[in-house]
Amino acid sequence: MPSSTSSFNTYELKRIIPRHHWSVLALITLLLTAFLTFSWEFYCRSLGYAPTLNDTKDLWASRRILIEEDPSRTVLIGASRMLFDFDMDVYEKEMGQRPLQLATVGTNPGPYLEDLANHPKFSGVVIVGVVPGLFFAPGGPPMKSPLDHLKYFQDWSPSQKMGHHLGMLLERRFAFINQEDLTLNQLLLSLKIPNRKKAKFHPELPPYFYTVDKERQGGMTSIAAKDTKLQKRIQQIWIPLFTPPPDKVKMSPSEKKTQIEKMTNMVLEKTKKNVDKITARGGKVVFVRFPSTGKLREMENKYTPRVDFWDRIIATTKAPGIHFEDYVQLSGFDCPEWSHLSKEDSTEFTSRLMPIFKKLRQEDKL
Amino acid sequence: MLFNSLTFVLFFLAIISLHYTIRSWQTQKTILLVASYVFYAALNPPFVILLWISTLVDWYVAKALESEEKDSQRRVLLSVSLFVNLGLLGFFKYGEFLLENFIAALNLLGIEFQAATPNIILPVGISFYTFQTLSYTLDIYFRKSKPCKSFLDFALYVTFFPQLVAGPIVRATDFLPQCEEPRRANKDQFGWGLYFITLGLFQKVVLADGMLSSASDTIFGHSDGSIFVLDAWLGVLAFSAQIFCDFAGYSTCAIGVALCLGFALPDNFRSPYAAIGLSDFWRRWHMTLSTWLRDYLYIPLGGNRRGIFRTLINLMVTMLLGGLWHGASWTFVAWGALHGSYLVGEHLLRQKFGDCGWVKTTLGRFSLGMLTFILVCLGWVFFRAKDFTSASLVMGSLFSFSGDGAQLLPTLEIIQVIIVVIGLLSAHWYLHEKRLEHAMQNFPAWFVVAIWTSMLFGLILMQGGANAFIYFQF
Repeated sequence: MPSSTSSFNTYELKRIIPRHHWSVLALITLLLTAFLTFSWEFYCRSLGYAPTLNDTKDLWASRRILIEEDPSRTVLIGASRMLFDFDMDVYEKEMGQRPLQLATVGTNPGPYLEDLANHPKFSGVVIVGVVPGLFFAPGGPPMKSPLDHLKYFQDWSPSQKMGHHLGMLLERRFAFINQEDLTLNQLLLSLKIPNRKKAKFHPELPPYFYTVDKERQGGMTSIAAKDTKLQKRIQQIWIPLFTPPPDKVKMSPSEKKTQIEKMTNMVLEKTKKNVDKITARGGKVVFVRFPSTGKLREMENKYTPRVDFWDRIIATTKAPGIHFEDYVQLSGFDCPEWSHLSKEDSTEFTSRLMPIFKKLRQEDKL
Repeated sequence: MLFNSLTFVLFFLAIISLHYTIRSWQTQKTILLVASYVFYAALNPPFVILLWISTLVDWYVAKALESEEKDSQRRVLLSVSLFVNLGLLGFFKYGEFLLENFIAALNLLGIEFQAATPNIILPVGISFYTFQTLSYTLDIYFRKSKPCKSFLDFALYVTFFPQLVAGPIVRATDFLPQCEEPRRANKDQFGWGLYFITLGLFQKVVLADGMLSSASDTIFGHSDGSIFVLDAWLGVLAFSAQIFCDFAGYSTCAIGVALCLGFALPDNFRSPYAAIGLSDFWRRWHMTLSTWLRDYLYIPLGGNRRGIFRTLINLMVTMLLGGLWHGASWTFVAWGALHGSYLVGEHLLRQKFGDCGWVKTTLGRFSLGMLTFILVCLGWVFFRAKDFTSASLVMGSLFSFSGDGAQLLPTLEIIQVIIVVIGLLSAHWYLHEKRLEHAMQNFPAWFVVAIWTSMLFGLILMQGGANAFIYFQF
């Protein structure tokens, strides 16, 4: 705000057009940009990238909205293992209903379960993929992601819906439209500029190694399933991601145990409340533990032992639980990067899950 | 609808096609009006009703003001417009804030009172179109202009989609005359409009969202202990550049879109980070709001005509309300108060040292420019922080030279922030005394094409999601 009114000129409305042939310049710019874009597209394809949909909040919202149309749908929630390892075609063929895939990578499914529990009409089956490290995460990115997705869905505007459909048209045609790996920011990240020694950051997230379709049927890319170099790179990323962060406040082992116990109880209590709400409306909830292997499985056993976490979920909620280690037919799968099944194996794994699901249905537990 | 969305690309192509294929000017304007409602409804359909209320009230109040001679009746009519417009703004924007403070005040007095959270959704752009329609009615009340004769023109003035949700705030006297004659851009005007749209989108998508937002979010989202001084400064610099690129980006797009349709909108920014002094900053930052506040608040309060003390009070009041216009939070009031204090201080210093020769030297001007920039950056801390705890954490970290504090920014982001901030400051100093149009005119055609292509390809590479503009929340 100027302190003197006399020296303050009102804005000028007259717009000056710089002396250039702007229509010609626009055309040349368009041609050059098109040339650069197609060159970039060919280069990306030469690296092995193919057109795929981006797993965006819009895509998630486009699935979540279907519950409003049919609240008796079967819904899949969880993290990337549910997204990658569950074959919806197999489920539909065997169980007669097409499920909705609402699992998102790196996610605590608690907020999704709560969303369904608080839905006034939802009465379908919820299949919850459990990764204990994420399921019991009290905050941080595993909680932020589902909350962001839910908020996005609640505010999903007509403009965003339209943009989503237009975006899919382009994503199906261009390989370079890949928000996991090929954005300018991701390309800059690949420069791997060293950070300061004292600086602390969130661990690096794994590179693009899965695809989704318009129904969010996920699956590991064939490159990730075969390329051992990429698999090793992803394996090294899991180690810090699955290592519990250091304590913010120094505490003794007994204090730490008490704190973990307290937080675990809170999560269990909340989960039970949500399961009860769903079952009270005629819905069903089943928990599934998908395979993990190698050093990652060892870390899971160390930091989130089954007896303290998985077993307690089942005992507290009284809901059925399927742990891959409890069934011979579900064991022995190889996860190429320790955490997820290849696309082929996900189909096989789901096929082997189906008899168990059918049995649960016969027992009226599903 | 956001400019940085695929939906807008389709919408824009459709509107341009219709605008240039239909011959009747009345039909063209009707299409633009309907398109503007669609543009607004695409964000949240029910809020279009607020636009209609605002349009109808000010249309009829202005008509009545024109025929009414009695001052008392004219005041009543003006009050109706103020009540409806500011009432809607107050309810939607400040309702929760007022309730929270009312409860806090009661609790402070020892009265236990709790109320359910109303959860009011803020209609996008309400502050902008409220000020725009108010300026129309106020101009007629002060007999500075005549009421518009065409309801279609007036409705289009209130709703014109390029500037509806985040400005520039346009005066009726500037816009309505443009509705009298058919508007068609010639080829060069159209091409220059497209350049503006590209520049605006580049500022928003590549610079603000792509290069700066992460550093700014990291620093202002930190709550766990102090921040290392370098990181704190880089976070504040990142936000300073981000808020400019975001908001100026929107205004630039708006001007470009309007140009393509044959309309002229005013500049909203003119190299503000090269301002020499805070008065100069407000001549260059959000110019259409500054002039609005000057004409409809500062001058009616008495401006600088009632002595030095009253001038300083008027400045302070104007900046406090200007701060509150930006958001229903005490941090925005603090930001306004800080800028008010800056202006008061500058006013007093100018009186004492205004004639000092050193101030007019190149070094003096540059030093004052940098000081202005730093003061503005410090102000942004209150603007960006979600509360005073966060603001004091960042502010404290900015001046903590012990070497302690968390190092939060990756090297890549440090490099990005430094490059963008230096680039931005250099561009502002280069354009300090001249307009972008004049600079572009002096560049050879190949250079213009190179810049334009780089920006467009940068946009394609960035693949930015349709993130809302920061000023939408105001």
